[in-house]
Amino acid sequence: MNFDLNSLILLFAAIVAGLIGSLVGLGGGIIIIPTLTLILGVDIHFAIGASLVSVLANSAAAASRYVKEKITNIRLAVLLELASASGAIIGALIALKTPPHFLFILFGVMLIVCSVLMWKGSDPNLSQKNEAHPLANKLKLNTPEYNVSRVPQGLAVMTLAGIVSALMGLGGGIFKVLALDRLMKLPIKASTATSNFMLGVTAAAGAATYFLHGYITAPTATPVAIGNFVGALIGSRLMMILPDQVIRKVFVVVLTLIALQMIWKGLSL
Amino acid sequence: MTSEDKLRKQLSLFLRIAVSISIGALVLSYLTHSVDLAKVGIVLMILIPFFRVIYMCVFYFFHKDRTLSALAFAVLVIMSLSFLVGQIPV
Repeated sequence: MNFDLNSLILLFAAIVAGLIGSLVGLGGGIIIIPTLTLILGVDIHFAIGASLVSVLANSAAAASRYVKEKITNIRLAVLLELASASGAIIGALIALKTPPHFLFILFGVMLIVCSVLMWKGSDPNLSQKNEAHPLANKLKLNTPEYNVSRVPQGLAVMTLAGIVSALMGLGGGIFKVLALDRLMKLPIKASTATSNFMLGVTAAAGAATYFLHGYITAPTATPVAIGNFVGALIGSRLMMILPDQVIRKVFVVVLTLIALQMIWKGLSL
Repeated sequence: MTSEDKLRKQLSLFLRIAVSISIGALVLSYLTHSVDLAKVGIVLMILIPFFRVIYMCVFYFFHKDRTLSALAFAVLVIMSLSFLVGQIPV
């Protein structure tokens, strides 16, 4: 490992990925994977390995602040982690039998529709008026600031998020934030912080597998982890001061970019 | 202070310490060009979510919230299972 140009490019990309990821509840794979494969010419397996490390660094760094500041809904995260982790196993089992290009295009179009819906429907106080789901009452998922609605539907989308991330290698965080925000009616900050908290759990098993197969190497993973950590610290501080509407708009822009990336990937397969 | 507040305080502290040690090892490895130290940092980083779920499982168990403790335990089982089947979520 040297302080060469590649390492500095990667460090900078990871800081940006960590900042955006912690702000909108994503892992940062959208930035790390293209930087490694398209700009630095790294093999896709090593790029995914580094991306998994970036998710872990981001989740741990940002979560410590969000948990302390009571933005993350820990109880809800535990319940939903169960669904998304199960979905990841289902996705891994069906991955070999599904034509991936069709899925990329399908989910890409789906995310474009979601981004339009999110851009239009943006009442930040809507969640306070919602009725709590009985399961949310039973498991004490509600907070003084908001109630948690549509728990079964949320669990279903979390399972889908797990399947999507295992099948396609990206998009898990996007579906998590969408489900928390649009379906379960959490405020956008609580949605992104809870998604961020959950991402580490989904990525850990994959990262362990990649590490044991030798796809997580020091020259790529080290600058990615350090950069992501720094970016996540900045992003989590920014999130505390930015208004909900700004975070929602940043999320919609990132959502559209991921959708386009998915469609492009689907067409080029 | 409610049990939820205690969990938040302890979990936040745990995450801070764990991620600081892991990143500290990675920064040192970056400066000293030590591949072994980088591996230690990466392994610690991978283990953080596992330890976090175990921590929550134990915490809720001792605070008489058996449902949440059972849910956290189930998450741990699924994480281990997904590691065993070698699947690749991002």
